[in-house]
Amino acid sequence: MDVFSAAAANILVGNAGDTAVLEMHYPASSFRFTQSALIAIGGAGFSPTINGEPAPVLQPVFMRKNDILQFSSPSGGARTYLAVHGGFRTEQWLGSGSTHLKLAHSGYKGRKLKKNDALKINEGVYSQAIKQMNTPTALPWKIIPLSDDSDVISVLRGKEWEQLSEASMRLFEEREFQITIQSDRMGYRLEGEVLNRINSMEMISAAVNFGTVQLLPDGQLIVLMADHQTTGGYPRIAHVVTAHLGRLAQMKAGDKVRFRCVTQQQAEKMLLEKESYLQQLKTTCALHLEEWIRKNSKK
Amino acid sequence: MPDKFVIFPLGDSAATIYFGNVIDMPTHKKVASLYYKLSRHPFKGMIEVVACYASVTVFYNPTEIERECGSVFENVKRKLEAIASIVEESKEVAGKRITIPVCYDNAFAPDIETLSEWSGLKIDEIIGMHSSQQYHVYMVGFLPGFAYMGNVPAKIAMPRKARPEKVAVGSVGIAGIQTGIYPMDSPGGWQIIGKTPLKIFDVMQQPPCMLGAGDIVQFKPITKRELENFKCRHS
Repeated sequence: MDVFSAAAANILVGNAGDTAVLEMHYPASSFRFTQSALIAIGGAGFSPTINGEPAPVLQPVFMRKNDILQFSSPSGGARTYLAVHGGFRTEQWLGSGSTHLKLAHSGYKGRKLKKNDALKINEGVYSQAIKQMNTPTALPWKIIPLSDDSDVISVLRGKEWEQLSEASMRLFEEREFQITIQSDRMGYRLEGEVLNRINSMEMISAAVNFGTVQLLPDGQLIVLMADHQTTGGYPRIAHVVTAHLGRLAQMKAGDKVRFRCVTQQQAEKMLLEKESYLQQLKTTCALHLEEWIRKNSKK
Repeated sequence: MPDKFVIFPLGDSAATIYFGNVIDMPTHKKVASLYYKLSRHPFKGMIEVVACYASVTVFYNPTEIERECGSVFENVKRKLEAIASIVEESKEVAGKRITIPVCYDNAFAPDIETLSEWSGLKIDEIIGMHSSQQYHVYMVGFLPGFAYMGNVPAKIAMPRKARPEKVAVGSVGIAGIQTGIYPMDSPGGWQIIGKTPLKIFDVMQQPPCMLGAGDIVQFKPITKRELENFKCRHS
């Protein structure tokens, strides 16, 4: 869901940004490591501990055999990501290693993790070196998250925006909309001021995107999320900009969302800046990791 | 392309080539030809193409799009205009002919009463109308394997529900002049009038989708008992 946080965690441990990670909600699982590994935690964080001691977020951590990783509070957002050097071994299907819960297919046995599952880790560039190490836990570099203190979600106007009444166009940007309990990875259902269309024509089904804001016939909104369908028939009044999808993915039922319309250029600029920041991190982290491995490997 | 189209952004990572708000074969042929052209010759930064009734949408990675001047979208738009204006209408797509058994029993048709009130038709008449003609598969979307078929007779072309509800796997529904089958349990807004025992989407099959664009479908009414027997035979 929060693609940027997952990518950041991956980059810290020297993986490609789209390597398989674990996505967790709170309460999250506890993990006992059966071999040493290099990990990083991204996203919400959930106040992680290693053998009971607080552990850092967005910083690579060296786990020794029998170390226990736990998460102690629902802090920082809705979803935490666990990346491991080499990546988790999952079943690939249609170009993805994700688990499709509805189809009970691919990923990890097509289902959510449960107690006593044993996860395998793929061989990464430094896996052999890591297995032979025995060093203190936190590594000496970390990612400082981009300061992003506003809670407003930027959106682009959609094809059917013009069908809204003028009053509804204003309400859309002025009011808060609450994420309801009927929200999941497919979409967030919002509750708020009823929005009206000046034209009630049925729209024939057409493509939708991650972040598309659809207006339901009862005047309420749905924001399509990571597991969204490919097409839909409800008016697409707006699209959350890609750069803000992570922020939205970290919100949960009960949280309130406020939208602000931006231009295509602004949306693209936000995204390209974020991507170039990830690229910089990738280069820097790769250098740090290489040096650290060299210094700490057995001669 | 003989007729006009417009290109608009679908957020900041996709662009739609739109031929109008219509469901008909001439429009769909244009869609098909553009879809095949783009799928076979993807441009740099393109991720995938989705074909719909009257539009084609291209998903792209904005960081990989080559830019001359203007926004990423403007560059994608120029590329798509050039491609769309030289594509020719495709020949008739020769699809499969498939008969799909459907049980229209009330137990599996939570909305058939509502449709009866809306249309003023008896339930038997609705079943007769829905199952006595052939449907063209225009596109696959929404859920994995969900085929959008048309055109449903105007008398039973009831609009979607105001709010999506839980729909069971195999449910057959109507939304305006479209008809379709839910390949899995899902929230959905279509008016549900029956259920098929067939597996419309099967991860163990290659390809996993039973229906594809261009296929011709005919529904065949079956009884509740036939539906249950069918399940026993195939489980």
